[in-house]
Amino acid sequence: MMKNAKMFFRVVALCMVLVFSLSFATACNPSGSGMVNDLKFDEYGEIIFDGTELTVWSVIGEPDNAYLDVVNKQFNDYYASNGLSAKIVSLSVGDFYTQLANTINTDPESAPDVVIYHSERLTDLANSKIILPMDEYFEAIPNNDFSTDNYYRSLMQECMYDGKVYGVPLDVHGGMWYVRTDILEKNGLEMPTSLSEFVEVCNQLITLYEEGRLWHRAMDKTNPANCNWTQAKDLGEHFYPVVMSDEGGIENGWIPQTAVLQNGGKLVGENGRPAWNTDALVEVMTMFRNWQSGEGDFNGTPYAGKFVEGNDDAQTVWSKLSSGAAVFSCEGPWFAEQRLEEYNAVLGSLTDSQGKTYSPLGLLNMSKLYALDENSADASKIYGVGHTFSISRTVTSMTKAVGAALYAQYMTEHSMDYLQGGHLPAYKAIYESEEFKSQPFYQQYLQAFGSPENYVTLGNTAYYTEVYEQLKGVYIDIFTASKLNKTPQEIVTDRFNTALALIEADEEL
Amino acid sequence: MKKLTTISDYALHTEKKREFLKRYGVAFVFLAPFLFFFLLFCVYPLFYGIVMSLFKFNIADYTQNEWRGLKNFITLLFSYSNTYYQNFWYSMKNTLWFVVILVPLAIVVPLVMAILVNAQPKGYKIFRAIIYLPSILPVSASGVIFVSLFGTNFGYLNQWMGTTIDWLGGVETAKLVIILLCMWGGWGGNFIILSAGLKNVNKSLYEAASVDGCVGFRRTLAVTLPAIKQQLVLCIFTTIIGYFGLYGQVYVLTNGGPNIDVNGQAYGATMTIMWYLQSCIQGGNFNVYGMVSAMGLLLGAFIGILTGIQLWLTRDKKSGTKISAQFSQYVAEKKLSTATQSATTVTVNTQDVTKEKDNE
Amino acid sequence: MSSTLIWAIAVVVAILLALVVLDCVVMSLKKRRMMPTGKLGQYFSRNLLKFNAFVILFIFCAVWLVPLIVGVLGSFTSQYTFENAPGQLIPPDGFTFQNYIDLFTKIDMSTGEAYPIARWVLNSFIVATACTLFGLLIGGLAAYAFVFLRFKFRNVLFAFLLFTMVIPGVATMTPQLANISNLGMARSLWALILPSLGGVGGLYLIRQFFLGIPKELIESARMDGMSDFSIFRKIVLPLGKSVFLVQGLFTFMGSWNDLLWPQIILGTADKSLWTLQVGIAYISSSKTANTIGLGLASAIISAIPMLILYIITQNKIVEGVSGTGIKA
Repeated sequence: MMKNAKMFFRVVALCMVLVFSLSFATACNPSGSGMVNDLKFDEYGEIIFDGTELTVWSVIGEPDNAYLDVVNKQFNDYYASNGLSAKIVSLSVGDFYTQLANTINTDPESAPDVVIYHSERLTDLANSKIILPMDEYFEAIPNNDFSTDNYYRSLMQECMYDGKVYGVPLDVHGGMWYVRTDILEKNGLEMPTSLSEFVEVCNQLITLYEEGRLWHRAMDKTNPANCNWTQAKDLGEHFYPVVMSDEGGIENGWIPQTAVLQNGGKLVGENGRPAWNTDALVEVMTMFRNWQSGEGDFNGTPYAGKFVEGNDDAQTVWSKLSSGAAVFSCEGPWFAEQRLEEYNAVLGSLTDSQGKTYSPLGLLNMSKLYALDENSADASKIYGVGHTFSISRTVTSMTKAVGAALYAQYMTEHSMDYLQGGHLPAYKAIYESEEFKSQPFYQQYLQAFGSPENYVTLGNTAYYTEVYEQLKGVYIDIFTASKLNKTPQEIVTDRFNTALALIEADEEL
Repeated sequence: MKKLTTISDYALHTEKKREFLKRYGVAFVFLAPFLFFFLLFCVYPLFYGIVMSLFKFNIADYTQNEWRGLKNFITLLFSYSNTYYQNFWYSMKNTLWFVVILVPLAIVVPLVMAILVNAQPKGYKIFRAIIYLPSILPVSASGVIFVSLFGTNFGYLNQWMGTTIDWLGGVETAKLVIILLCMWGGWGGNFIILSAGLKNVNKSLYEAASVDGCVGFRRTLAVTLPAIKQQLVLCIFTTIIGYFGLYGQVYVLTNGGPNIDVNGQAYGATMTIMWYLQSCIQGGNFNVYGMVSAMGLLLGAFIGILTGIQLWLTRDKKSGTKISAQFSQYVAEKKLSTATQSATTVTVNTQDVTKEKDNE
Repeated sequence: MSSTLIWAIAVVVAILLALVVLDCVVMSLKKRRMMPTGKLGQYFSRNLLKFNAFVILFIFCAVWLVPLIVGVLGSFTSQYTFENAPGQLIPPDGFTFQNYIDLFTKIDMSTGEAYPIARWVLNSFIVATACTLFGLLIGGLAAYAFVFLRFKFRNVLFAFLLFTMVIPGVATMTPQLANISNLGMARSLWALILPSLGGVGGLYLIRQFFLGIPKELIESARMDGMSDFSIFRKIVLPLGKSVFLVQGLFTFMGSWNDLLWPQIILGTADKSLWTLQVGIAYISSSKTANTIGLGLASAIISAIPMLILYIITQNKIVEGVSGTGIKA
């Protein structure tokens, strides 16, 4: 028995050594091969692509990917004679980056040539050598007019790494407030354009309701009889004009960030560390606490009541807006087209007792909405998220790389049809063109988004998750019922320290 | 000089070789396909994972891998201030909490149900089918059903009860809902195995017990449970391993749970260890894979120790004939001593008699 | 609390209390040998346990089925009801197929066509069947070897097998991924089938069962000169039909319901490769499909094939497992 056991263990040890060495070998596999310069020019000096097909992985999902495909088709048509085409594959956001990294390493043939993703991840991808610098490919194209000045500065800045262009920005968008403009109008109130106006409007809404004088109506698709104007106090004991919560809409990804920026703060400091723990943020969060408790005052004027009811979730974001129980609700801009259509179809032509119609839904961007000093230069800044085009490192043919660069340039310079989904262009010429301003979707809702110049993105940091998610956490904690005993200052400090601890743990890895 | 052997020796030798080949050849053929897949898809990734845990492993760029030795493990075991340490042990604590509550429930409840069904009341086949039914649903499906049941503002349960309890948002209630979901669809397998075991219990055991006057609840404890001990051990073993890997239910219901605060650090209240590992992998941080492998191995070691203890505690105590041998020895000794005693008494008596006789 | 709920709970509690009282009465009568001898008395003296079991099981199963009923009815409920009249099992605006229609006619925005749901069902089916058949064959052979063939390290090897069961799957996910890609199987269905063939789970139950087959049967067959192959084919396989059925069902179920691993392996690039679970999860989680009804409909759809299989085989499950017994 002993002899058997000894031999067994010897065999096992031998196998383990074999397997270990195999594993070591694969683990230390050097990656990446050099770029092969195979550029061929024709008699006009133009590059011959000869049937180069680009595989594009895109993080843009429904419904925007349909619009992106329209522009893609335009690209294919334009470059058909040159033999250059592209095919977009839309992946789900959840594991996009993991899948990208895995495929590039373990299965390079199925890896994409071009990646369309959130520009805030650019530094991370560049650090991990997943994407390539694009300057030399643009320079290799004869008579090419690509220039970083053609794009809005903040958006282009995020796509730079180590002084080189690593991505071409496509668009930018921010969270939007969906507003029951019909209720505002009927009660003689104006759409607010700044923080003080917002508070004022909310106070008035609450007061009117208390006095039983608030006109409101529901947007009920299946029962038009419920859509009549009424002043009755049938929405409950109190009126809560704003929907904000810890697990409701996605406003936690837009509002605190905007609040930091509008008061002169920065989201990312040096070395990619977070820098958002400003006093102004604490002040704004304290204000949100007051909106939940209904106590305190704003600039000397006490609040008329609670602005926010609490206990909201992803469904009440829309249901309260449609029932008229709330006037302001924050959600992603991609719902704009759909919801406007819906509300207009049901309420657009309904008249009140005097035969007057009201535009039921409006959009409000966050400019100046969290600026404690409305006149400062930063007050109109809005936190935005953008998409960018980059070239993956699996591209080893110069022809393909140049084709990819051309693709990035074309798509971003001709993105008009894509913007319909609720995005602002990163390419200046589009925004400044008359054609864009006369588009029906611009006039219906995109106009409300403001100018791309005001949009500020996260910035260059390799620690996107730590910086961004913890700031979201600040907002979530402020609205979490079980954390009411913590002061906003404590919440901000705790989350900030958590972000730092996470970054430190990652660096120690 | 060549070694001379006899023909019989030679024949014996070749016969042994052939016998050996036949025996091991057959075993090899039977085992080969299984072992092939096992080595390729179980052992190799395991060892690869061990290797990964010794590096700072970057899945996006292998050239950035760096040797770390046991550093990941040391961080996980000793660095109090490191976030990985804190999250790992916090989620281990959570998972242990779930395991301690769920494992007994997932053994006792199916056991009770199996015993009830085994009594074969009218329509027991239908009951059996109904009890096993939720276990065949995928977790995503049953999770969606529970989310619609326990939603705060529009959930069925809240509407029926007329309350607005935030089931999935409060710490204790979220844990309760997770436990309920595990209870609804999580012990079907155990139920089947225990039912089968009960069916196989020798009826004569029950008869013997009732003759001895052991009925009802006592009978269950003393007779039925030991009879299905093998199945119980199997169930406990697999259930412990299963609930240490609790992930699907957490992901679907609370995705880590309501955010709570422990010593200024934010955690998810229902974060289990598997959920934490998954979130690390999907977090977009490419460098974390070595640490994740290390965490997985530590977890595996932990589970291994726990199940090892469990298996040792419930091992078959092979007493064989030791006790009966001891007993017969005892009896023999007793007989001998009584015999010697009476012999001594007799001798004494005779001596006394002789003495007396002498004295006369 | 809504009044119907209170009534329901009250009724259940009352029944249980009555049961307890009945038990006490009957037990005390039995003790004093004072059981009435009429039909009712005879019934209770013989079948008290069965009666108790029936009542308790009945109540338990009624509660047990509630989530399932909610799920099924909810999948036929319109979003309007969810938003405006929540909590109604029978929606005021009637049952509607809209959720299912939405699910099946959703256009895949990137290809302009409907999602290939039928293809997904086929994929799931292929993968699950292959896993089951291969798994049973390979597992059966291996279990036979572990039980009936004597070779060195037999027990040590089996213990090692058990030991590997303990490491959680997530720690080996990334190495497994690299492994599969190196083998060139990355975007094919084989990647879903082959790794499951090396698992111990498929082996354990079968081995337990084989341990219960009397050794004399095998020994006498050997002495008759049968080779191990024919013993396996002619004796062990027919005996083991029941456990193969059960193990097959478990394997099929595990493979059908698996969501995590196919999601990781198949990637989101080529939708025609997906299994049903992956596809349904994708559809019901997209931004524009945020309704409860759709989620419930997708849940029911992803579970229906398993339900059908279950209804067909459920009678045989427990019978099968216990037929010749899973013994020590």
